[in-house]
Amino acid sequence: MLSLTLSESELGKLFPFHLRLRADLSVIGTGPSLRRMFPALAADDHLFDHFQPADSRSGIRLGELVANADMLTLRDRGGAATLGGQVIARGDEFFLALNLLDVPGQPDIQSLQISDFVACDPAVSRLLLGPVHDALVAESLSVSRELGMERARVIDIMNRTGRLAGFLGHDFANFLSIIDLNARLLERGAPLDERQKRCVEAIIETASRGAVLTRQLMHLSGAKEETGLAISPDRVIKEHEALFQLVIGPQNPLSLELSAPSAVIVASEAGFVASMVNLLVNARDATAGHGGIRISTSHGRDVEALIISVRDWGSGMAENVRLRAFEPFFSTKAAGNGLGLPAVRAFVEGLKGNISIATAENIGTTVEMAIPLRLPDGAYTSGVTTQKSAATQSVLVVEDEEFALEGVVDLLSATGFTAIGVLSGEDAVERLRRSNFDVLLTDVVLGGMTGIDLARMAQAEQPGIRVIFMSGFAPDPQMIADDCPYLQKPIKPNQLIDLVGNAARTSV
Amino acid sequence: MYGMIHRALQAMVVEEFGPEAWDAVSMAAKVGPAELVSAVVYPDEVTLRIIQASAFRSGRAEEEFLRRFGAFWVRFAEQCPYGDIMDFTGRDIRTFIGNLDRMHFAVVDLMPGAKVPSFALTEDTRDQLRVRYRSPRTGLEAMVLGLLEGLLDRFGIEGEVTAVAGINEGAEFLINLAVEGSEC
Repeated sequence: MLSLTLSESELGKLFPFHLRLRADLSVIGTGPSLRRMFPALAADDHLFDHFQPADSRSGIRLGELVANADMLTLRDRGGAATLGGQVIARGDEFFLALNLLDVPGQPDIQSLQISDFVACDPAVSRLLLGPVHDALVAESLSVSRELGMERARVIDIMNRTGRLAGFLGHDFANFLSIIDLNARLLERGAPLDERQKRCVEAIIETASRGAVLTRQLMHLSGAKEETGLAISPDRVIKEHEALFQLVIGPQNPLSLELSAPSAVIVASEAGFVASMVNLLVNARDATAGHGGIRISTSHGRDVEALIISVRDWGSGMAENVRLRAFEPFFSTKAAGNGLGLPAVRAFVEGLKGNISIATAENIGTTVEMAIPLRLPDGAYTSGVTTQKSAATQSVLVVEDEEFALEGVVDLLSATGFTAIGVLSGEDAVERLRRSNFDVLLTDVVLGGMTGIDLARMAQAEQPGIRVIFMSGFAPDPQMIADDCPYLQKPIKPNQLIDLVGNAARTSV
Repeated sequence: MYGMIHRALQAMVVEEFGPEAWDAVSMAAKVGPAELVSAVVYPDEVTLRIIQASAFRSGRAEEEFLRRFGAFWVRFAEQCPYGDIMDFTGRDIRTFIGNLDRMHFAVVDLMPGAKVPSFALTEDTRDQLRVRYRSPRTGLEAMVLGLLEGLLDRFGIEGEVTAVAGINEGAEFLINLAVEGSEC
C-alpha cells in the first residue's frame, strides 16, 4: 500500500471535480472546479441535495453502491453537467475522483476553464480545436487576400518599371538615331583629318553600344522584338562577328564566307542572331572548342532563296542522332536541354524556309538554312538589286523630332534620294495632296495623328506609295500590313537606305 | 516561433507607426505574407530579424521594444480569435499564470513543432507573486516582463513587475501587487 499526502491545492489540480463525503454522504470538501461550477454546493450539504444518479446502476441503493462500487455517474439536479469517476472508500470517508463528462448543449471554452481538466487531458485539446480552427480559417482568408494584394503590388511595380523602361528606351533610341545619323553624315561630308575621323568613329561606336543597351531596356519593358524588318544577313553576321567569336571561344577560329551582301530577308534581327548563336554553340561543342567553324551565305541555285550555313569539322553525328536532332528535349549533351535546334527550325520555318543537316561521324556537320528572299510587297527576288536612278526616288519623311528628321532627310539626300521632311502627320497629308511620292517613311508615334493612320490616308491618296514605319517601340504585328516594313530605332543607316531603296524600286 | 508572434509584431508596428512602417520592416527583415501564418512554426532567426527590424524602426533599444511587445502581446491575444483561449486559461492572474503550461501543452498538441516556455508560480502571497520562467531560448526575458505587466493590465490589477537575477535557462520575476482594492 502506498501512502501519499497531498495538499488541498495539489488535490485540486489532480482532481478538479472531486468530492469528499462522509459515510452519510454529506459533503466534507470539493474540488475547485466543482466549487466554481456549483457555487451553491456547500460543506455539510447532502450529496443528493445537488446530484442524482445518472444511470440505473448508480441508482440502485446509491449508498451501498457508493460504498462498494468503483464507478459512479452523477448528474446535477440543475442539469448543468454529468460527472463520473471512481469511488475510493477510506474508513468512514469516500473520495469521489470525478471528471466532467458532459455539459448539456454545446460545451465550449467560454463556460469552462483549463483547470477543470486534469493535466494533459485530451479533452482540453478537443475544446481548443474549435476556436483554433475558426481562427486559422479566418486568418487563411486574410493571408490569401494579403498574398493576392502583395502579388498585385509587385506586378504593378514591375509593369510600371517596364513601362518606364520602354518609354526611356523609346526616347533614348530617338536620341541615338540622331547622334548616329549625324555622325555618319559628318563622315560622308567634307574630308576629315585623322583626329576628326577618330572622333566620328567614337561617336558611332558609342551610339551603337547605346543601341544595345536600349534594346535591353525595351526587352525589360516587355516590348516585342522588331517584326517585319528587312535585314541583310551578311551585314548582321559581320556586325556580330565579335559576339560569334566569343560564343565559340577564342581558340576556335571563325571564318566568314559571305557572298550575298545585298540579299535581304524579312525577319527579326534578334531572332536571326539567336538562331546563329544556337547553331554556333552546337558547332563549338562538336569541335570541343577548337578546329574551326565557318559561316557562309550564298544565293540558292534552284529557288530564290538565301542559303546560310554553319559548318564545323567536329565529331559529327551518327545517323540515328541526326534523325532526332530537331526533336524537342532530345540532346546528346549531358547539360543540354534539347531546345536549341528546335528553336532554330521554328524560326526558319516561320520565314517559310527550311533547315537541313549534313553530317558524318568524325568528319563534321553542316547546318544549312534556306530562307526565301522577299521584297516588301511579298514578291521573290534574286536578291540582285537593279540600278535605278536614285534621283527619281522620292521619299516623304515624317518625324516629329526635328533633329532626327533632319538626320534622316540629310542621309537620304546624300544617298541620292529626293527626300522631303515634315514634322507632323497633318503636314504630310498636305504634301501628299500636292505631290506624288514613291515612299512614305514615317514614325509610328507622332504628335497628332499616328503614323498608322497617316499610312492609311497616304495609301488612299496615292495607292502606289510604299510605306515604311520607324519607331523606338515594336508595334503589334497586326497593326501593320505585310508590305509595310518596320525600322526599329536607333536606325541603322545602311538598313534605312536598303529598305527605302527597295521600296522605292517597287512603287508604282 | 509561431507565426502568431509575427502577426502580433506586425500589428504593433502598424498600430504605432502605420502600414508603411511595416513595409519597411518586412523589407529589412526579408519577410512577407508567407511568414505571417499563425499556425506555422518558423525558425527563430526569422522572428529575430523581425524583432530587430521593428525595434530599429521604432527607434527603441531592442530590450525596451521587447518589453513593450510583451504587454502588447497580451492585448493582441485577447482581441484576436484566440481571445477565448485566454479566458479558458484563467480568469484571474494566479490561475492564468498557473495554467499557462497546460495551455501551451494543449496548443502544441494541436499545432506541433513549437518550443514553448514554461511558467510556474513559485510563491503566492497576498501582495506578491513569484514567477519562474524557463525557456529553451535566451534573450526574451524583457518580453516576459512586459507580458506580466500586460497581464496586470488585463486583470485590472495595480502592481509592478521586476526581474530578479536570471537563473539557468530562464529568469524569475516578482510581481508586487497593490493589495488595497485589488481583485486578484
